Amino acid sequence: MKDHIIVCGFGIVGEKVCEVLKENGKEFVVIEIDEKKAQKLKEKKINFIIGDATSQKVLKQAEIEKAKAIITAIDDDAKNLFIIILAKELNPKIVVGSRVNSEEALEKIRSAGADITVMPEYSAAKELSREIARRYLKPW
Amino acid sequence: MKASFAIFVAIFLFFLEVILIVYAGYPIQVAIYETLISLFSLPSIIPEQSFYLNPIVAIAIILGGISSIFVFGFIIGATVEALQEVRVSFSQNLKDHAVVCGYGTTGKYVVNFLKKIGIRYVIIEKDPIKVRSLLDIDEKVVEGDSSKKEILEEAGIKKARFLICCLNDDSSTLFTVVMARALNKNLYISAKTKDEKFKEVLTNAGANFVTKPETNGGRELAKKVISVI
Repeated sequence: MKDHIIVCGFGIVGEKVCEVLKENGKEFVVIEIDEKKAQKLKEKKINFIIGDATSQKVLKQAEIEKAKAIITAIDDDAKNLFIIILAKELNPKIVVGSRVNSEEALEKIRSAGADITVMPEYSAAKELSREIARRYLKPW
Repeated sequence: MKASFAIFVAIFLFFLEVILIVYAGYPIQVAIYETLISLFSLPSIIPEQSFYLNPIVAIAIILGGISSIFVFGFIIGATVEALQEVRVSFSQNLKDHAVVCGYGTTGKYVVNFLKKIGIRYVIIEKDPIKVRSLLDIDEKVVEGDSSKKEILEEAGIKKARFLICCLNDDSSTLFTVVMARALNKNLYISAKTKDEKFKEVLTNAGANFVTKPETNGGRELAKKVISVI
């Protein structure tokens, strides 16, 4: 693999990330700690590694040195933070996109080297707001 | 008890008592004074026993006692009416506004957006600490459970145009949506949910638009990464 994307975590956020990457024809590999999710990944014909994304060995197995980007989609900010630090160490040029679960972690994750940060709660709020604006501009 | 009715009865009884004491043969100033002190159950200044033994005076004093009940009734009635007015006037001035349920991360973002776009809003929040800090910055806020009819009514739901449900608990969201829809058929209801399966439940319950934070977040994250690589 070369110029691929690594997706850490295959929860709801991770699954959606994979869906969009697939739609856009991107090459990617998922790192998932939960063995129970292997079946689902196989069904969806997604490349995956069962292991802990906070481990250097697992990241190397996903060929992080040759990867173009890494997306951390875990619901634990501490784990995402650790993966970002490790990823930047193994590949300083890598583009990092990270899920952020709490407002307090936002700045820390950014300063750890995340190029893109997304808070799911904000995404939902943005969508709710957009919908209201659309209705508001429309007459009764 | 209606305050106006209580004050009317009290005034009527006051004059009746004065007239009765005057009729019993006492000067008018004594009649007014005795009537006034009987209202507040204070001791009489007339030392003669005969004053109280006079049956007409006795009836007058009893009427004074009844009148005092109406005076207190008036005070309580007036206070309750004044408090109700405050509650009603809060939402009475609002029309075509938005009601935001829950002031967490999502609620805060939505409120800031409504402020920017110029839509008037009322926040419903359960947490008293958050309510206090919102009141400190002069926000319109109703403290309580948004699934309760009286809380939604206090936020002026019947005249509102939007309801944005930003609660973290799906069952509370469902109850709020059902109650809000029952109170206002024309309301535009949007909500967030944690569970994908709950989207349909909320839509069937009356929500016009339902979003799921994780799904949105995942989509946004992937799109942004794709755009920079």
